Amino acid sequence: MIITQARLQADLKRWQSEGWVSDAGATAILRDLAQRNRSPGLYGALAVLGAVLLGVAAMSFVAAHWDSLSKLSRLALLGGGIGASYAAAFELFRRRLDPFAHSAVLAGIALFGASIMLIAQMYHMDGNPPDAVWLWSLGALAAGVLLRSNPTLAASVVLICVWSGMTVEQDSKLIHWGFLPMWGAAAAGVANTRWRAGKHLLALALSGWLIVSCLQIERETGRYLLVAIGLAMAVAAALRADVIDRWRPISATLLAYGMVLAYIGLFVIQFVDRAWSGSAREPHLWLWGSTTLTLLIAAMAAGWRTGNGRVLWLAYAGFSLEIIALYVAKIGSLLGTSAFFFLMGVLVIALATLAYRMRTETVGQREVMS
Amino acid sequence: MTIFENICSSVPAALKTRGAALLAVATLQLATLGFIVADRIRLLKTGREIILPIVPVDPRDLFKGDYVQLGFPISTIPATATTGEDMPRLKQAYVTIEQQPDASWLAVAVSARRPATMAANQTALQARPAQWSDWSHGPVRVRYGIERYYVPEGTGGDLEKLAREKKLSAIVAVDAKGRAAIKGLSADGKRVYDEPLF
Repeated sequence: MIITQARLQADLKRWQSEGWVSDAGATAILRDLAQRNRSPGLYGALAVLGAVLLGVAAMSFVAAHWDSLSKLSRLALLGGGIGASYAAAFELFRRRLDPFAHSAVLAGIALFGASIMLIAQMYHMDGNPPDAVWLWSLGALAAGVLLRSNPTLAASVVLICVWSGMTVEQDSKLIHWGFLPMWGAAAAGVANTRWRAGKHLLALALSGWLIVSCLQIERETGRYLLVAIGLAMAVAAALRADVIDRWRPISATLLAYGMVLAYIGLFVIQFVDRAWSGSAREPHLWLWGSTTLTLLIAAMAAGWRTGNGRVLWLAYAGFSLEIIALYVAKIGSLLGTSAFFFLMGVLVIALATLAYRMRTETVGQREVMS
Repeated sequence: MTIFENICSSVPAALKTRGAALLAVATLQLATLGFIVADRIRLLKTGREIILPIVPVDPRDLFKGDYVQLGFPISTIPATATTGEDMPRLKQAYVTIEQQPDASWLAVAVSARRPATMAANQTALQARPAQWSDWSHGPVRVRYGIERYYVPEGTGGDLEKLAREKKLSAIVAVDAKGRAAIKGLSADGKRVYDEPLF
């Protein structure tokens, strides 16, 4: 659960007035919060965005004016730009202006990519397009890992994804195993800098690869595999949270990712394949629909039990999407759809009543015990 | 103590490591770019020169942005040339092209490896199948990496006019590995676009 600074301050005042937190304790908590917030804020983000814009500007400028400069001048300009970026990064690191130094490294990476593309233009090279992006991502990866630069590592993850996407786009049956070692190298770099947002970016990239790879497998096998992997992750995270968290505190995140992966698989089986191959393809939509809704309710229960707000909201979103998609796709006829939703509604209300009774009994038992 | 040693001794160890890493990254990236350029120049300078006529597939759609999409008669491999060898899902193969008495080139064979021996009027080019193509079922559309000719911004019209009025050909260098690179363009036997190495 994400708590904003303003929310924490408001809560602290309330806890102080209730007498749960002492004045000294509240002051210490606020001091700790202020220290933690010394990490680069808006100016760091703006510096990174500025570097990205400079890189794009350099690429467009050289490309647009390329006939007024000789090839050698263009090469010198690009090479000099890369050298100047890294020299600027060194000077900025020396002055302890780390966010700006990282931006300079990022500008160097952008120029490296622009150089690859422009050399290809200068010599009319029309090779395999993903190869150029792969080379670019390799340069970004080397810089990110060696310089422990988070923005550059993020750029390398994005480039690896672009490279993998372009490779897969060329062949509808290919499972791009080459993605994994590159992802692993980026993961090693992020593990080294212990960057939290980077870990999420890596998890998103790996999930994206897993989804695409499973969908590349012919027929339904890939879809079932995706659902199985997602369910295995979610079930393990829900039932063995203590064991997982003893290793790394990731069970809450694992539950969210597992649930989303499984739902994407189920969604494709129910609605995407159906749309591609005609409505006659999936005759058991009612079964898939009720299974999906039940699994989403189970995910909500797991989210409630563990206080996992992210899973709860994702499950709500999935539930809403599923209902809309089932309504649009229709289960047999509109009458059949109506019967399906009626039955599911009655079951969910029954479940709510059962949960209410269990809760009342638990509260009653606690009161007796106290 | 020299000035350099003086500077070095005043730099903290962590910064020295970072400086070394920056130097390594810059060297690595510049060396990579240098290698690409040097390799291309070597191919253009030493490769065998062949002249391939350009086929404007659709003159209205000839230009996309700042490059000309080039098509060649050898871009389509006839079924007769693909049936010789079983080549399932190869990302790259070699197309043997043969010069005809009228100086044009024709694709005569496809193989997984570069042929060891070829006639004097033959050469082999590295080729990739165009999207969704399969080697085992001809005819196959292929790309040799010479299908784009980049032109300065806003000057595409001149080339378009030439392509419509005269017979446009690409002057291509081919190296021993079968890699191809565009050296320039010619119209009616005269070089109209010559590519400087630098």
